[in-house]
Amino acid sequence: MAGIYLHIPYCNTKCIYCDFYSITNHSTKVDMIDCLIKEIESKAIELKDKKFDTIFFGGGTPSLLLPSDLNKLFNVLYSNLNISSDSEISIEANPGTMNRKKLESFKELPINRISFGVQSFNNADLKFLTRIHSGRQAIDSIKEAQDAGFNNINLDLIFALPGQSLKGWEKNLETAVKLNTQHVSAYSLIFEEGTPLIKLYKLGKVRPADEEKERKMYDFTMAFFEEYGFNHYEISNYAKPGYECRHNLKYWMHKEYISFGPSAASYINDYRWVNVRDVNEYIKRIKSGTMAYDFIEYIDYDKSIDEYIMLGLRSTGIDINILRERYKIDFFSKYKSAAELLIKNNLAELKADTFYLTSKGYAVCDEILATYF
Amino acid sequence: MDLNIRNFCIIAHIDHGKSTLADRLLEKTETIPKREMIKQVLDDMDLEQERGITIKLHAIQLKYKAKDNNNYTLNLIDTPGHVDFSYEVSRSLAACEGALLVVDSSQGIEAQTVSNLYLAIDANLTIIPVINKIDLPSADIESVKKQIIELIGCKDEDIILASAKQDIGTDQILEAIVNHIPPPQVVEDVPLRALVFDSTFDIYRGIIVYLRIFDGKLKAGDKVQFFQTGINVEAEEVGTLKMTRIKKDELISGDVGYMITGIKTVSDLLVGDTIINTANPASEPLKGYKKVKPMVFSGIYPSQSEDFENLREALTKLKTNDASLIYEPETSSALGFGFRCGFLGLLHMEITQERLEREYDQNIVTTVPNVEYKVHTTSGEVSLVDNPSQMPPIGEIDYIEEPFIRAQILSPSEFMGNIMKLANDRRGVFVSTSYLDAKKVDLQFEFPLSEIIFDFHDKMKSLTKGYASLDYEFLDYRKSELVKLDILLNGDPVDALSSIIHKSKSYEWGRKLCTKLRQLIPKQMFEVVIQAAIGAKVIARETVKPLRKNVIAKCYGGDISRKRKLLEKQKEGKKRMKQVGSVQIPQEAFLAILQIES
Repeated sequence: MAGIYLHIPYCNTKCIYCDFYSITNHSTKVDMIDCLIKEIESKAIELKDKKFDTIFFGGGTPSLLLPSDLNKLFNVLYSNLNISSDSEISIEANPGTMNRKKLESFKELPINRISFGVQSFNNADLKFLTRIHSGRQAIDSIKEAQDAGFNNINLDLIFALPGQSLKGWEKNLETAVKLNTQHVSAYSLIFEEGTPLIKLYKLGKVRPADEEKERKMYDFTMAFFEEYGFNHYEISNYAKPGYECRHNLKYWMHKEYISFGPSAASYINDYRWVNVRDVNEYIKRIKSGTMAYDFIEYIDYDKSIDEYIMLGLRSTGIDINILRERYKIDFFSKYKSAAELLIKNNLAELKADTFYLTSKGYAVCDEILATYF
Repeated sequence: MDLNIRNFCIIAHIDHGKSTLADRLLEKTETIPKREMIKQVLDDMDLEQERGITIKLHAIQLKYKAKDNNNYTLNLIDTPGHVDFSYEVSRSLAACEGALLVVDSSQGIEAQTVSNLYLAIDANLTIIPVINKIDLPSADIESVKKQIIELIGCKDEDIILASAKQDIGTDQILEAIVNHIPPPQVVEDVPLRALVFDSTFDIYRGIIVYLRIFDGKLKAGDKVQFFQTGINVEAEEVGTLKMTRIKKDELISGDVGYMITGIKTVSDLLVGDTIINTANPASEPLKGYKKVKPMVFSGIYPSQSEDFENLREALTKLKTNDASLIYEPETSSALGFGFRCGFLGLLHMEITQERLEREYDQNIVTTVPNVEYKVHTTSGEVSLVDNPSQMPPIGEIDYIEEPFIRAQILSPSEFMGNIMKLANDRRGVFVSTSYLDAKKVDLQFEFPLSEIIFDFHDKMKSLTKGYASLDYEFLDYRKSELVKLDILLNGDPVDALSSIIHKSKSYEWGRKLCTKLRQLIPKQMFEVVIQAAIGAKVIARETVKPLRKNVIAKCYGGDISRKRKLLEKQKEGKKRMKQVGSVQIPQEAFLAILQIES
């Protein structure tokens, strides 16, 4: 089973840390949706043998779409692709763009999971991150979504903000679990190239949290969610059992996905391609009937194995049987000394033919990958 | 019989204008038209031009019509200008009857110039003193004159004032060459004896031997023998050297030229060797041949072990035009397979490393340079140790001897105090002092060679505002209180980080080396304990704390290709490090000892 992703690039404002493709000028929206439809239709034949069981509306701020826009897209998706009836269908939402009425109308659509970009419940943090909503609005939106009948909700939180205290972060986590959502993504702030945030950093106006503090926050987060019965199934993701995000697991388990819209990436039949990161160019190409991608690569054996291990160690682990069957690699001979060393130091475990990182290992996952795999 | 030959060379310190003067001479004699003149034709390796030093010897023939209306053939033999190459200099000098002594009008005489001048005087060369760069505002012609007169005892009016840059004095120099330097002694009716003063390697023709005929003649097609190596070859082609090789039927006594024999192996050819005729062999070689011995040793390793064969190939090629480079394979537990290389001196080592990287595109790790020690064991044996890791265990050592050198430092007298202090820090033994003139002092010291191969030269320059110059020659081996300082990472000794050091400095160095390594070794998965030890005794310790966080938190969607590439980059970075046990060591760490401030 494969996943489907649609990228909706519009936002009301651009947050300083965000490096996803998004724009604040919405004038292309009607054209963009037409092109999404055209792009989906153009792929129908190629994908006729594939089955899909997740759909994810990401962005940008897909919650800016009108229910009627979404409805159109669903119609096209269902009539062109084989989509399973028990699919997980997620939409990302900005609490500042939501209200009860909109949530109720979303509930009328096939959407069954909402992911709220909360980031923090602290208004000072939110101001630093240039978010448009308040802590109060975030809480209200989540409650409204629950009232509207959504029972699979994620909220995103960011830690290791400049100046954030461990106490402040703990408070965020406590507020989050009280809301009783099924899923939390808690990731540390990344200073991405090309963002206003990194410009501020380069100008010396903001300082990232120091390594030790970041590690403490991360350790606390992991222990905290464990206590509340969440399953830590990826570096930055925690879910109540059975509520792991099936769509994101496609990425993390090296499964296939088809994506539509500017900057969207697909991985089908060993090819990965990424569409142009410019809505006008995207519209121009789709309208003229040409391909919208500006990057394509064949994932050969070497790349595939690297990705499988990288993604596996970031999430649910490497399946030794898959290594042997798909990649003809005997884990125990190829990675013996590394595995022993990591296990001995409580950085990894091996259970039921799966080699996976512990919380201690997650904290230095990139180092482990670069050093031993 | 041609009495109109003059064989000469130029003795000058780096940057005193030797190459510019050579350019002027080439221009004046129309050896090369002015418009084709590339700056400083004689230095044709990139590296030489950049460093302003001549590494390889060359020779060139100039045709000059003198004021007496006679035509002369002037053979200019170029000489390398650094302390490491004094033997090569002596062989070039031996091919000449005269030398231009070129001194910068603002810098005055430098140590290097003095020692080469003495070599020239020893070889009975006629010296023509030239003060160059007289157009400089900072020129101090009078005191430079005094220094020259003090050194060679010439008359004031014998000294030519010149500016090669402004073409002042060039004619005077050419006339002096013709009038003062004697023509070569021509000895024709005796068996051939020719001096090999240099060679280069041509990929099509093999080794090209540069030679000076002293006795007899050398005809194309002659069967000849190299006296020292005993190798017999045919002189396939002989000729003289202009901007290109000019083929001749024969070279006769007094000539400077080249010979091509088809020899491909550079080690078959020794600078200073004598070429004799196989059919009619001379019984004695020319005097002055010496086997060149490396003084400084260092390990050269490929940064990635799979490049070992590439490195071997690069060294083989490099050796074809640098016969003084010596290397043999060695293994290090830390660095894997590599080569122990012997160099004439520190500059020779630096040049070799740079050429490997730039001309041969090798990514290399080099270890700290060291000298060769004579280790006397308790069982009465003597072994030569040129690699600290080969040092026998303390218990088996009776005593160790290390090479000492005699150093001459010329400096403005105001810096004498600084130099004395530096010499003292480096275990120098003061020998004597004398004044070249009121302001310039000649200091003589004896040093352990190991103390001057690291950064002595740079230190001396910075303590004397760049004015002091150094020259040295090997003296003898002397008994010293030396110890082997080992570095342990997480308890494992890292052979490539071991050094041999004087006991009195060992504690301080151990501490400083540990501190430096702590700065150079990046945080990694596990704590890294750095220890310095002498024998079983740990004398210093530092730790590199383990990495606490290294993970990019976000991974969604198409991010995966990008993320994989980031990881590939990280892996590349790791590959450039050397893994020793569980510790990754960056290449710079192997030279950490060089960065320690003493």
